[in-house]
Amino acid sequence: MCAALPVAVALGAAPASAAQDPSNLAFVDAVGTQQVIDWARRTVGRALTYEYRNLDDLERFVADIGTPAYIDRLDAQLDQTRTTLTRQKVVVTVRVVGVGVRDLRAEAAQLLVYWDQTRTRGDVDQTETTGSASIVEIRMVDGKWKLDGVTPV
Amino acid sequence: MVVLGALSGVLVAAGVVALLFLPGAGHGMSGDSGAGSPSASATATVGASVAATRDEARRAAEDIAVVLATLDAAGLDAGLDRWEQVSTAPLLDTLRERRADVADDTREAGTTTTAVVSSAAVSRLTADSADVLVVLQVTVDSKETDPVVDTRREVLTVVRADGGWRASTLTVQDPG
Repeated sequence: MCAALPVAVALGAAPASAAQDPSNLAFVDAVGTQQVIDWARRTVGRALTYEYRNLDDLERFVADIGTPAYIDRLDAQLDQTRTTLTRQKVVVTVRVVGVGVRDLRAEAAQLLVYWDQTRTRGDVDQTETTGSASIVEIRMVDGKWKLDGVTPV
Repeated sequence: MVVLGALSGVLVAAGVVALLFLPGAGHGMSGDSGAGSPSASATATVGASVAATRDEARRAAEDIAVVLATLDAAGLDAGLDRWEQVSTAPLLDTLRERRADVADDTREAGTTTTAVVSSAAVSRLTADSADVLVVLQVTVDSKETDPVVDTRREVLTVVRADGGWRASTLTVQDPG
């Protein structure tokens, strides 16, 4: 059985009609929209990339870019999977290949992110590349965007 | 999945330069009206217009993506006509060039393909065009095999045309 670092689940369900909400600032605030797109391209791939030999690197990065709730969920997931990831010598590399903005507010945003993931299991020398699409939720904390949740579509 | 493969093959074989992803520059679609002191009502009007365009483009892209992922071997002409009705150049040119091949392949496979949108979001927006990410759940059904369900990541460019919106490009975002 392949162990995988679970993707953090969003704290709350996305509003079904977010895109039709008149207070949705996506593309109305052109600068803010570009900022969240750039943030996602820089950050999401790195936040989902990890190597069994240095999971602490992932924790340190997420401690800097994640909300407290996201950090707690990641820590809990690593507690459950660290041993298996290490035994299986798992290396995961994620590259963001598309970002759309579903909803943008002053304090929160919801993005649709396409990424490609290459996962290598070193104990059996297997590598697989897959494509994913997820709803990524971010929140403004102390003037900075922070990752709050990732939910596969 | 003959139909899905056929549409993707149509795009690749014709060498269509598909827009994989454009950064959401949003140029020309800001709620800020530039130099001077715009009135609050003017700014709000521009903002409402941008929001309306954004939502129109997204809904149009969702509808078009479903149309372009739908084809029934029992109703090929109607289905392929519908593909052309929701498209414009260069995608329309490609669809017309490959229409006969797509029809032959689908008729031979005897498949029915349908799709449902899982999620969508705009990645770039101007007054007259948008790039939209659309995630589809596509079901291919045939008499000989059980239905196959697949998730497709697509990026459509939709442009204003003939009083509505049409797709000028469609890219299936395969991994790798």
